[in-house]
Amino acid sequence: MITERDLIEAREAFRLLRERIAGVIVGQEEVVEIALWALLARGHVLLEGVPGLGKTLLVRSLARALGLSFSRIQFTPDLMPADIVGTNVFSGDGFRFLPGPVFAHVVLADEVNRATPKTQSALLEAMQEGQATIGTETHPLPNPFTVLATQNPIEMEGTYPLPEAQVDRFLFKAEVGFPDEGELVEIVRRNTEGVGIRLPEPILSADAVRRAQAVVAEYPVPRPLMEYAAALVLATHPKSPTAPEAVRRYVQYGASPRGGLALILGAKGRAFLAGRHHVGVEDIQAALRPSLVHRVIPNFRADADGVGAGQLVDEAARAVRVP
Amino acid sequence: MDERAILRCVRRWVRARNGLRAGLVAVALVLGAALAGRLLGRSLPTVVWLAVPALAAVGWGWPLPWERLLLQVGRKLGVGERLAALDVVIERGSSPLAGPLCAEIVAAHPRGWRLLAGPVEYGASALVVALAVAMGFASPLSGAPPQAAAPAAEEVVGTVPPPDEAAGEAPPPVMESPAVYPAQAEIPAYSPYHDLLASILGLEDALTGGLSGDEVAARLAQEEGLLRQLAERIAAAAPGGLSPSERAELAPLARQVARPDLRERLSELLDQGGEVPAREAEEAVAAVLAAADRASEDGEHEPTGALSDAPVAGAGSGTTTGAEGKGTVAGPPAPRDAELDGSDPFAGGEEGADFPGTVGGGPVESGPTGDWAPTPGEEEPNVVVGGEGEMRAYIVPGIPGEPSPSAGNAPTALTPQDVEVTLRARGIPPELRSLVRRYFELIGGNP
Repeated sequence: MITERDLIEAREAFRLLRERIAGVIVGQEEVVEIALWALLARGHVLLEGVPGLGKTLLVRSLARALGLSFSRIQFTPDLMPADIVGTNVFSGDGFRFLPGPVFAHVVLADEVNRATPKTQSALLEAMQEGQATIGTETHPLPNPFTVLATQNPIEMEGTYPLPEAQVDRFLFKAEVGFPDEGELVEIVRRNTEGVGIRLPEPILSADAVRRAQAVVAEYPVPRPLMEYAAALVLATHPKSPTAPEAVRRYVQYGASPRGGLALILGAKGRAFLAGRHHVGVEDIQAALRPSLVHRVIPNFRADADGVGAGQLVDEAARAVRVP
Repeated sequence: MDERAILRCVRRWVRARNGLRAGLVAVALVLGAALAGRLLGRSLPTVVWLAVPALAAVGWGWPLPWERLLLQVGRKLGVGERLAALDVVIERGSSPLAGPLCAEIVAAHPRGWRLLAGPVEYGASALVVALAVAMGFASPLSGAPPQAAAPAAEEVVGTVPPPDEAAGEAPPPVMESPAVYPAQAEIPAYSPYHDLLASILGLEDALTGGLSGDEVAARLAQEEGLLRQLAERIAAAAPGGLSPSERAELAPLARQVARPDLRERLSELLDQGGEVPAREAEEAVAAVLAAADRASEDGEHEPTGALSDAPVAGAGSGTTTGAEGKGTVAGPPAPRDAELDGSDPFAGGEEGADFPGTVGGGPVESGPTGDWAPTPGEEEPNVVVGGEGEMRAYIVPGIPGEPSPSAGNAPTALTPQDVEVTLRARGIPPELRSLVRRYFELIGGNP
């Protein structure tokens, strides 16, 4: 049973958490925010960005500040599913389960698109089910459990792009942008002076995170806002009567129902982190791109015309009447 | 204040707003209809205004889509989506968010009047004001109630002033039930001849009361229809005399007649009953109708003529045979004619007793004495009147008649009765009438 005290404590803890992360990560506030939405919504995030932008540092800092266990998996073409979920090994008294790196609260799946689909699916199964089955035994994953996967958008050779169905498992997608000049100067300074990067001290615990997740789940969303989210999702479908012309022209597949789920959960997380007790239209609009951009599949014509999924999502949002 | 009390309060505000909106819309609709009716010469029954409170009540009680409405109302009250969120929380039962949400809503100090100050309310209010102003400008009688507010026929009967007063001061009673009379089915367009027609029918005040041209035409047609109906019914009953039931039926109609003297005379005759009074009543009404018909015919001949600007030569040149059989008169208002000449069935023959009987070209064959009563259809010999100078006004009350085809360019002719009627109608003092009459005799070449 969640109390008002839980609400206040959780909010205060996450306020502190953001401050601490900001002390380590230069810029990238939006990526940090989206990662926290995913954590609060019991979801996972796909981080897309070129190497060297601090994705790994971000995830490590987050895990450390949250007081959660952290593991990093570097995906390569020869990575096997057992390398992720673990395996049974023989010891003196028989076989025993040796958990893989996926058995951690926060998992960084670095360059997830470099592993074979078979290995990818092993991780994605764990993400979806919250458990890993090895042989005949099913092992539950820690709670909370969040995967932050990264992929490099430019080095496509020798990669195995995630199938749409698997991309859909990520609640949000965050694009890690390049820092501006001021941020770059700060990054250089922090990494070249003194003792280097110091990870933040733990603020939360797994239990506190679970309570925060329960608090966020309590956030009320009025039905008109639910309908708004549903309309936004439908507007990304080229055959929908509410779809704008750009969507009809450039979209091959629209967002899945999970997109609507992500919209509402992201909006709740945003409202919680903003210190509000209710979800507003602006929360849904802010969660729009991270929730839908990886679920809208542009067609060949869009690629030819240089139209991205983000633009199409924005077009769809413009076509929907705000309640 | 707990969460349920907050929502109850908001619901009351919303209902009040909806009631106000519906009421404003109802007022605007009724005003619009009244305005349109006024412009078309029709009226709305007072009961229509009951639609305002009725619609306001419907607006108050109209089922509302609360979920969506709370979102909009919350924004208008400055509390954002909190009201809608609170509604969800209450539906769930207990929630740790209810307390903080209530505190935030109360801290925002929402004011219910903000709901009443939206674009819809402003727009509806502006529309109502505009319609009310338009109604004011479109009012046919600035100082008098519109036709819609006129008393019913029964009320008019009870308040009809005595003939003397009515003739001099009070406006003629305004009639209701416009669909009763057949002549009204075809309402003629307004023309300057309505001045004359109004004077014949005793509706002069309608011309000066601010009515539009169409309204005057409608009023004239209405009065004419009443007279025709009276004439028909009296004629149907006249041969055997009026029975008490017929008199009872006709009396209310007679009391609605606008022309005071005719109204008075008809009332007297109907009170008497019998065949002779019925005949007199029939003739009286017929005389007025005949004069009205003549005026209408002249109006058709020269629809654009300004009455007072008409040349003397045109006056009374039409050769007609009215109901009174007076012959050539088309100029002076026939009712005044009838009132003064010997044929007036309701004014008696005494009025014309001092009429000398000769005007213009010599003795009138029909012997226009005080009890002069021409035979129906009989034509009077044309009397040449070459009116000129100021006195012309006395014989030109405003009928620029077209020269008679038979007369060609012949001089204008007026009967002695017409002259006498004109003298009286123009208010020539009795001591001057003989002088003026003599003047006309002189200029008419009949010294």
